[in-house]
Amino acid sequence: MATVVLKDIRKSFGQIETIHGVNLDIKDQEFIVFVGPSGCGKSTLLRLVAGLEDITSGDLHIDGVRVNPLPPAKRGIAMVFQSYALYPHMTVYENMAFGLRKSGLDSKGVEDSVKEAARILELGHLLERLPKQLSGGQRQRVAIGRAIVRDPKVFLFDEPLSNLDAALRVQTRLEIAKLHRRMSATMIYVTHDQVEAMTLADRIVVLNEGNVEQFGSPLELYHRPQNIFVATFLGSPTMNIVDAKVSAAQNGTTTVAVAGSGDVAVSANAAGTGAGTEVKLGIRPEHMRVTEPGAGAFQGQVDVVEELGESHLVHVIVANGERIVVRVPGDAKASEGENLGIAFDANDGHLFRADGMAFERSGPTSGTPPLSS
Amino acid sequence: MSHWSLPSKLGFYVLLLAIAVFALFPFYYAIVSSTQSGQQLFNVQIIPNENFENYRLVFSEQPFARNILNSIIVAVVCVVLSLGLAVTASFALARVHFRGRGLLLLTVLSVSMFPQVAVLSGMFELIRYLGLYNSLGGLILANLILTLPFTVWVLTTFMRQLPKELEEAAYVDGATPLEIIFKVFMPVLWPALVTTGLLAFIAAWNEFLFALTFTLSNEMRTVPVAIALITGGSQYELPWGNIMAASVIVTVPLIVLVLIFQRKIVGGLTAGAVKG
Amino acid sequence: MAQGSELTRAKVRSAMLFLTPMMIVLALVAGWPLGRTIFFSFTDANLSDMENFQYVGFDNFFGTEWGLLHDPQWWNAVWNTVWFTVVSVILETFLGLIVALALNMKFPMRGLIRAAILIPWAIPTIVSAKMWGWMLHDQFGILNYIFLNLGFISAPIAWTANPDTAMLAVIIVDVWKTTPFMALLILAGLQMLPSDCYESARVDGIPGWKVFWRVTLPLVYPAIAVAVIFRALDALRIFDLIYVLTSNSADTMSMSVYARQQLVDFQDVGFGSAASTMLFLIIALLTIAYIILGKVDLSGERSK
Repeated sequence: MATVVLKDIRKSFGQIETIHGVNLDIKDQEFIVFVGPSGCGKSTLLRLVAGLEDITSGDLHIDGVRVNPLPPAKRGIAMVFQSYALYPHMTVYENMAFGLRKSGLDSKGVEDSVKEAARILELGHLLERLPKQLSGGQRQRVAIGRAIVRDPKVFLFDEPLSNLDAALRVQTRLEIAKLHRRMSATMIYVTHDQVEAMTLADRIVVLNEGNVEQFGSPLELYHRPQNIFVATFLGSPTMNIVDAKVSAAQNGTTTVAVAGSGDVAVSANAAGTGAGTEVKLGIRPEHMRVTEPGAGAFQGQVDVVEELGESHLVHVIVANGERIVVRVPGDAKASEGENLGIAFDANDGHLFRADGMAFERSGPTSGTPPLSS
Repeated sequence: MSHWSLPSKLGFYVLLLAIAVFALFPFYYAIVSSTQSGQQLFNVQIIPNENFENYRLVFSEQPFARNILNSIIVAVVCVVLSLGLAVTASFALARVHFRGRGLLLLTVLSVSMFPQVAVLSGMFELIRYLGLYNSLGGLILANLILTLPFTVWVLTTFMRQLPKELEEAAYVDGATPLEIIFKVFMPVLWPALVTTGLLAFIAAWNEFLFALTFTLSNEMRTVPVAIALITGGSQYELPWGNIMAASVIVTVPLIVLVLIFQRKIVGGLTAGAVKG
Repeated sequence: MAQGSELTRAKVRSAMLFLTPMMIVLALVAGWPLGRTIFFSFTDANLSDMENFQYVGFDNFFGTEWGLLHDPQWWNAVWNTVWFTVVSVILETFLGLIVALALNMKFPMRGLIRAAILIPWAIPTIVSAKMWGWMLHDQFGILNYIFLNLGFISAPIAWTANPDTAMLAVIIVDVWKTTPFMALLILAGLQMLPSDCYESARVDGIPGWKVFWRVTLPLVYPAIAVAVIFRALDALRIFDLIYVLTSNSADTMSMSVYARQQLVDFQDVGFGSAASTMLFLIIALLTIAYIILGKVDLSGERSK
């Protein structure tokens, strides 16, 4: 039961700074996901919280206590590693009991805690097995069990599902979500998988090159990305980005001109931006629809159709040569080489400055984010 | 190989046969010679007799049992001391970042390259000063220069290969570095430990220069020196039968050990060689 | 404002604690004796009375009357050692490569052959020297017997005593004993090679010898280089084999044998230490050259 507060946390390896001043305010019992491309610093940030790496500067508070100088075992955290890191020569029981014994608990207490964790994770029949005698999913549960028995204030997960196959990943994801509800503990979870991030998180931290790009709830990030990085990182297929120039901006609606396609209206507040300013227009594939040629905002020719079943992805080359992907229902007809138009609602458009920062969206957001990737 | 022509296949098997004969024949011939006594030795034979007279003579004409015991004591104590010192040291060298680590590793590596003769006079003085001349203690001390750097180097290589997360999981569980070494790493690393210990044992068992220089009496000699210095009744003719019998006695246990651990030994030798 | 956490400090503290005993022992058995050897090389110390000595400066090295560098015996030992090192390492590398390539094939009883070649390596050097000394015996040795009967030679050869063949005998025994070590190191290198290179070469129909020259050899070259350097540094120190097989014969005397003869047999600690120091310097320079030129990965960072 703890808050985690990061104040201007920085990390340098030698001369190279890899985490550039991260500020986060994590509430008690929140499920926080660090997400970002590989090399963005998400694992480093987690290891800083765990105490496995030294914080170069800044303050880290767990449950109101500054823990910078404390070793991992005294921070009230537990960690589940990507490779599980089970002790190969110890049985499942010993794996879970090892840390408890270190904490000075008597053998009765150790046994009770391990049995309780084993019951929660349905590991009771495996307690005498060695890790090598377990399946991948069972090892994963032991790794989680080893974290549970510590009864930590904060659970840390470092890409815990990346070694599991697709089916098991979905199942374990659900188990982790249930675990969070049952344990009512604060959890920080690192992943590169946006579906894991969207489904598990109360709030998501999007990291890029050691900076926090945005910190907010999944839907906030989906509907109101603060910049192009977040807009294109979340959502699959990725958001279409088209170069445009401001024609007019007033009353929360901005009209932009796209080369070769003419003016389109977007519900974004670009007041004060002069006509002719270069901007970028973003529209998610699921927010566009195919129309008759001549109608809609863009005109183009179908390049490829990817048929997914429940929906199809239509790749259209538009007048200025750019590629736009449209998600259409699975029963829609589109064939390669066909000419067609593309339409979208002004409320579904995103507008970004040339430097990538978003203009505030003014209209109500519509549609629901897709959960499957 | 299945697509090879018949002459190539035949050539290949001839090559294998040549390799096997070249490798095995000298030791086989030593066994044959060890079962021939007196005049039998002067006629070349290639089938062993059932004559173990030489084996009896080896033990009766010199304190060979004592020599074997000396070799075992020296080699075992050296290995135990080296492993004891190296296990913790190699953890520090392999898993902890600190300034001067590269330099320290360089030192360890250079010591294992020392020519033994380069420390001979200094070691002689030290051993005499400590009152260890002509004693097993002196040999143990001297042999550490062979076994300790080697053991540290090989164990460091092995320890580096352990996953980082295993160590980190133990830190999260509240283990100290010492507990990580003995409760987490050692149980995982014991095959490497056995290999390293065996290689160090062989090095100490085979050591000759120190044992030759720092001992005086027959009773303190180790096996290699004893064999090198076996002389017969005649001043001009060496008792080859006895020498071959002694050679077979000290070699058979080594061969058995090496064959049992052959796969691990190859791994250990490769780890001992620096990867450039 | 770098703040080491308790964990980092505990780790570094334990590291120092863990290293201290090892470093003390290493200083005692290596650093101190080496320092004393170098020290003695500037004195006229005698083995029977090592406390009383005079400083003689560089006389043991450069002295015109009896300085090391003016002693033809020393230069003979240097020449013998270099000759032995070059010839034996070349032979061992060449034969080792052949054995490794053979063992890298798949054939029945491969494990048996691999075990067989480990045997010469496991046999103590002294024992190999004695075994071969007997096989090379001038009157009763089996090699003379075979060669005589095959008509290769007309009279028995005193392999280890004859100046023309003594070094050859030493090299033969060393090649026998050490080729397996080379073969195993090269084999380990061969087995780490990616098999897709070979498969694509085979699909392209490239002949076997060309694959060997263009693919295998360049890829396995680093493993061979490491093995060669280790062997060469080892060969330069050779003592046991020569001492036992040909004793103090001038025809085969190596630098180590020379140094020990001066030091122990002639009791001349000063001069013997000078010879030891020279040998140490030669090996140290070669080792340093290897570490610098070969860019040895001391920190282990690269392998991660």
